[in-house]
Amino acid sequence: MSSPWSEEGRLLTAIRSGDVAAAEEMVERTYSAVYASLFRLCGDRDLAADLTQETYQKAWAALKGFDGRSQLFTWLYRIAYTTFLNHIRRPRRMTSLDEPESFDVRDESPPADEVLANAEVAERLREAVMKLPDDLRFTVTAHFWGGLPVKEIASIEEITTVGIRKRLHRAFTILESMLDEEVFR
Amino acid sequence: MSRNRKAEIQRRLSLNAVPKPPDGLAERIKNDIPSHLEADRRRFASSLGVNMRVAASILLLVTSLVVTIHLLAPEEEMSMKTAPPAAAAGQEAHPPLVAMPRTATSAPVVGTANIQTVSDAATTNAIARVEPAREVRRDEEATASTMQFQSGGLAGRAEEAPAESRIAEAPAPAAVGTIIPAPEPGVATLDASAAPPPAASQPTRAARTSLVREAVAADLALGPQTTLFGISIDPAAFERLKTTIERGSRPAASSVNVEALVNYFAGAPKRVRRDVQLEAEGSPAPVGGNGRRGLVRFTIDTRSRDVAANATIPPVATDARVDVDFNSHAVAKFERIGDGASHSSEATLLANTSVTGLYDVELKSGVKPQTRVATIRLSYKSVADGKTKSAFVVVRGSDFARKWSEASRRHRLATLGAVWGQSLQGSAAGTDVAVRAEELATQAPDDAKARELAAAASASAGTR
Repeated sequence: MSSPWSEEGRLLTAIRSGDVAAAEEMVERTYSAVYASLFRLCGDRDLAADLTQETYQKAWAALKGFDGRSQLFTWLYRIAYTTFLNHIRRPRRMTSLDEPESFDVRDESPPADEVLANAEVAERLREAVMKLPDDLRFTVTAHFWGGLPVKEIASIEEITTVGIRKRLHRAFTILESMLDEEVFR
Repeated sequence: MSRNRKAEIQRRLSLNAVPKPPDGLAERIKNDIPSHLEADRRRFASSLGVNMRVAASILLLVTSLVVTIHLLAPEEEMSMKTAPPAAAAGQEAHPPLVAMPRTATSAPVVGTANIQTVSDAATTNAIARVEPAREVRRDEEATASTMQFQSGGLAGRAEEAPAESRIAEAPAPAAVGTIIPAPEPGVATLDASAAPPPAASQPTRAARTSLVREAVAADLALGPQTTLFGISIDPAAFERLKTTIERGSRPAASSVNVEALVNYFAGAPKRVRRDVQLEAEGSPAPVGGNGRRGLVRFTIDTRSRDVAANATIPPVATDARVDVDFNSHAVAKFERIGDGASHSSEATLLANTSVTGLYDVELKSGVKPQTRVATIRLSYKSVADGKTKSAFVVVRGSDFARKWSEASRRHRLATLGAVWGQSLQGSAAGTDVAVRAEELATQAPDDAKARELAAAASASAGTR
């Protein structure tokens, strides 16, 4: 995976010195990954966009408190994840009876029925992940949807990498029990 | 756990089927970069300049309105009223929120020579159906308009749910898929007649499916709406009260527009990306609750649009209809908080608009977290594509099993604003409101509305 957060030390220094161009560069490098993480968490493109915007609003406000112990994107992901959790704790929004929005899938173009089937399974998997205990859910989403290395997650969770791998294993076990055979065809 | 299944789960989790970020998202984010980062923001100078001019124009407009109101009114107290003297008298007689005086069976029967009864009978499956009868509080013209609208547009629904049964069992949410028919064009025109006069130079819009609807929408696309679904959203109501309180006077009860206060403090989201969105929430009462008393809120927000100060606000939806349905197995009593007769339909919803309705409810004993307490349904016709869209939100018992402080910030501000308004109308809970508001302001020092409410509640607690 290309590292959207490379050269972050240089960027952070520039941003903290008031360089807006550096802040914009940081946005350009990271926002797609933040958006993708949030989309996978919430499953709604408009909402993911709003939450991405909110994530950066919080990031600017919290920038002074970023101590650099974790990578910039790890820090951003943590903010995005918290923003998502805050959102789902808000009052329920509209439950639309209209047809769900379709979206452009970035990878190759498989047949339409396959896309639909995959989307359905992905949604069920997303729902199952959302039902995991807090620590397992964060670990799974940070690793697979946020793209954070195990070592980074271990750092922000302040446990060992072995502990993170154990969490992942437990999460897989729970997910397997939640999902039926159809997912594993 | 088999190795294959573990691998399959990992594979599924790693799939890269995510949509591209929407166009303009990066710019939205960049535009939020705060000014204290500013070293060289020349690229944004022009957009900032436009925003500042827009903000200044809005400020000037609001100030002019406030000054005009003060100049035109003969007395200070009169200037604070939305309703005329006759209406004010009725409002004073209205019992405060904390009293919960009306019951579902206390409503007058259909056919009584009472304007409110007419509207109750006519708007069966909507807000007015769940609202106990009360005296007329709006001016005669507005009431007549509402009556015509309701009797003309919805009289046929009276048979479906008699007005006597104030609390009706709702159909299961799954049955909501049926689109509620939009009002007839004539009805929409009638409703539009109560709206402000059309602007001299109204810009034309893209072709739409209904000429009548287009005409109505265009006529109404003037400026911010001050009532929606009969609910006052007058943004100046709080400012008027604040001015009086800051002078050391206690506002007259009749001058307190509680539903406008609810809407002022409920506010609007930073940005709404859907044409129309609905949210609903319940909670225990903020002060003076007996364990079964609660509040149910619904809020409708319309799409955010950048509109210059002197430009018309475009409509985003027509033929909007909201329907609040309480579960008689869960709710013993309910009453909409507000001063006027609400109605279920609105011919046009403009962009940049938010409206909040609040209900005081008393739950029956034994309501479980999963029990449905209320269903709020919304349907509207999108101006963008002409399609009718529907949505609903179910409020369940779990909302009332938590603490009020665990409700969303918007809900807490709206409900506290309501109770504060009612405390000004005569309830003795003013001190408690000030304490609650202070807690809210302390939790979020950057929340201007929480600070305003805390300051006003504290000051009003000390007024005579």
